[in-house]
Amino acid sequence: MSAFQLLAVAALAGLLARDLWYWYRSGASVVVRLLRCVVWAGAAAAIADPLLVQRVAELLGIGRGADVILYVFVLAFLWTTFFLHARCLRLEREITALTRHLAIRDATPPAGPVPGGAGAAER
Amino acid sequence: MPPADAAAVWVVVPAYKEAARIRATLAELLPRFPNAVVVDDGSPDESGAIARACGAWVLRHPLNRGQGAALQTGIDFALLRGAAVVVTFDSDGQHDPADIPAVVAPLLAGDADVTLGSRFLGRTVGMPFTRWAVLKLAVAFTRVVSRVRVTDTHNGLRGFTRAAAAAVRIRQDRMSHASEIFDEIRRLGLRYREVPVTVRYTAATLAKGQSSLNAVRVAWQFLVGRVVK
Repeated sequence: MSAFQLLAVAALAGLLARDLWYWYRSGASVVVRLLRCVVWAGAAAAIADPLLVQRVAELLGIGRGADVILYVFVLAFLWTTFFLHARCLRLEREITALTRHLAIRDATPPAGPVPGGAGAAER
Repeated sequence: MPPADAAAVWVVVPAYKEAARIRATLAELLPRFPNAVVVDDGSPDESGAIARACGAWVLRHPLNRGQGAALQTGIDFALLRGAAVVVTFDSDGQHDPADIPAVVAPLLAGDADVTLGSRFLGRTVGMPFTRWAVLKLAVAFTRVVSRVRVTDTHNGLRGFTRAAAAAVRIRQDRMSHASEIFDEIRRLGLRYREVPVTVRYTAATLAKGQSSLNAVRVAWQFLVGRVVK
């Protein structure tokens, strides 16, 4: 195993250990937590044994290990994009809720008598 | 419409950069329906101040959040003020306040929970063909995706009973709220009825309104918003 492989596998093992250590304290969903662990473990295995990726490629009928990596990255990119978009959407909803709260709290009554007069006395 | 019935109705008017038109809209609306709340959706102009001077309640979003967000804000406020019926009404003068009694009548009579204005059952003034085509596509989209049979989808003139207004939650902040309302009608099992209304197009409203190409973006926002809880 080369020095690079050693360093990379050690770093990935550290990341995996960190995620397992904080498993119950993480704010992420179980699916996300599991996925992260799988990604660290998979990356470590692929770096430690490059032929493993080649064998997976042959098993899937893709041919080249590099293509497997490319396809995985494309899928990961799409998933990450959607994940971030969803997160932005939820944040926007929270901003809207806050905006709504402020708008209703600071509601401004009509400046003058209301045409038709109904409800004017109440104001 | 009898004054007692009109007093039970709150009209929610979302407005963004409508300083040039809101005075005329409210001048038509307020004599008939004095309980109007204009939601100024972070306009950089004087829309809110003009609306207040005209005699409407004004809620101001400190940030522009979109028409769907403005509608929900206005509906929440109307419910807090004790509205028996909530009507949504565009601020750009496209709608005719003379249509509101017909929108409200089935709600007060207990015949429907939600009424939906339809320009295709009523009439349009100055509608370009491209807008007609996009709206027809939107109707087909709604029938397939939301599975609600209607003749018009993105019509801002709608009515809700108090119970329906409290139950429907608009989470789509931007223009896709119109499709979301149909989802809510179906999800909540609300009784709805379409009402013929008039929609008036002018060069100014067409210039400010949604472009026909924007319909694709609205549909995309709606579908993504459906998935993200």
